[in-house]
Amino acid sequence: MREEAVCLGENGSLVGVVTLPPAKPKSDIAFVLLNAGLIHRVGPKRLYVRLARALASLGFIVLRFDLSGLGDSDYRRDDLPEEESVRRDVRQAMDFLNQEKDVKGFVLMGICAGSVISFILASEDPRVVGAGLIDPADFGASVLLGISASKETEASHYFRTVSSTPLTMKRILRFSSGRSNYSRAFASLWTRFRRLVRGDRSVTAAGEFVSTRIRSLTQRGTRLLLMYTERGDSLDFVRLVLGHERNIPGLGGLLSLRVIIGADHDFTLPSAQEELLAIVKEWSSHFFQTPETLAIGERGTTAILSSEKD
Amino acid sequence: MSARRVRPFYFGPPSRRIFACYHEPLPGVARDLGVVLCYPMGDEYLLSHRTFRRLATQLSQNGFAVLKFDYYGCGDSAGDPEESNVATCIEDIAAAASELQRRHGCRKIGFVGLRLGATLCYVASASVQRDVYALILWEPVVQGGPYLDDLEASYAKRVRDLQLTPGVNEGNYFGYPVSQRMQTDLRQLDLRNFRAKPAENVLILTYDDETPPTRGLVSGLEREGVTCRCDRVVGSRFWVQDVNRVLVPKPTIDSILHWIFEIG
Repeated sequence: MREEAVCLGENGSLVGVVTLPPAKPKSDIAFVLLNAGLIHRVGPKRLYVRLARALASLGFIVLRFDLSGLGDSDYRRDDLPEEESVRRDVRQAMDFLNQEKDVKGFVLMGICAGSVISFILASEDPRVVGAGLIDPADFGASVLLGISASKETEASHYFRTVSSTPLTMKRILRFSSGRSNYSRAFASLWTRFRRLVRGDRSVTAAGEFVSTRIRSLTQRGTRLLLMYTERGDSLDFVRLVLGHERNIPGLGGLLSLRVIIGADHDFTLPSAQEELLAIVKEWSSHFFQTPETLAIGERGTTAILSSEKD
Repeated sequence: MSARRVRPFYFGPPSRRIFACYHEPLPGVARDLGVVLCYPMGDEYLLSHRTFRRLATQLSQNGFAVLKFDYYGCGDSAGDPEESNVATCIEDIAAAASELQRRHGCRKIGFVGLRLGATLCYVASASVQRDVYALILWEPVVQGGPYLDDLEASYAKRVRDLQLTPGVNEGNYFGYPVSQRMQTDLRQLDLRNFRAKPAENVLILTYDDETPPTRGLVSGLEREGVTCRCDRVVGSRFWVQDVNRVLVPKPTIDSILHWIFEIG
């Protein structure tokens, strides 16, 4: 396995690291890891480095790089809106891999904001043959459509957390001692009450957005892996807008869903980190093909697809 | 658009590749002092990345060649954290200083270190790295033992708050493995025990200059004949904040620049 520091994009303003397999790549599909929020290209708990090395050891080329203004990448000096800037950066990263490493297809992957960008770009760029989404928040509904279900998601997360915690004397004492977060409790109750009384169009619209986008992606033959941390609130979003994660369209076909039990959004526990790596490594085996053979395979092989059902 | 003046690269032998970013000084104002930035570790490394980038940019725009690098087993560098200990970090700091001098040709070397990075560059300056001209210790970890104790306590609190259930062997420091050797090294580390002169000029930036460890460090340096200044930092400890809410501490960066200009 080898690692190369690279400058890519316009004027080489984007900084990244390409991880190469020890021998000739076993696939002309490469993985691209996108910034988790404001964290630079190493990822939370250095997970992107470990993911890149694990995938490279299997025979893939992996690029992890910083979007404009993040990590060591330069700020853009034009007036491009942020969403467009992100799109351009990711496309330039794919162009770079195509020109420099002869890569034909791409799997975009990221945690949190990185997974939202992966999802959006996957639905817009036909070169993307797969997307690995780790805690994908609202899949970009708030950015693209201005639909926000964040308060409802926060309330759902609050109630799930509270109900999963055993009622002990310590908790009761804490609640009555003035040390609890009462404003959060009240806000969650109010959100739920308002939703019961008025209904919530934003939740319905967000659900439609997610379903439609996922359906069109899987119909195009794009393989999706949705990974949720049990303690994160992305799982609450999907439960809120679709009723249950089982209702995600395409599940069992080109879409795989995994919930990492006991994991928090930051992957604090090493066991959660290991599980994430194992899931991604297993899923990556689908991409030991060229984009062309992958497309033919998806149209003709139902046996493989149904065997993925959890 | 101006030509890019940041060069990411790897250096060192194939078995020990170190990632670095070289910030080339602005032509016309180049100075004879090269500055190596030494990161802290764990989540503090992630949280300080943006601040270090800003510091590197400002230093290079003012004529200083800057190298920021990741220790072996950390960040983009090769290896795993389990392979890292205090001695390997010191080696990396010395290698980074040599690399900067090789690239830029500067005769004088300065270090800026934050938290454990400050501790490590202090040890490097007091042991292997000779003739360090400027040393900036930003909230240095003076004693390794209490630092590890704090990390363990914060980790235990996080596990409790999030109701996580670590396995039997999952004692760790916020999701980062720390080798047994590193733990032992840090527990034995106390900067006040070093009797060598680490640098010609030392600036200590701290949130509380009245703590016994800081006062002990300053008086020890003065005994060694070091020109030492201790400034109190205002603002929040950005390395313990939410990563998406961290603000770059511009006043502290300005203080560093002013001091470096002052000492020449």
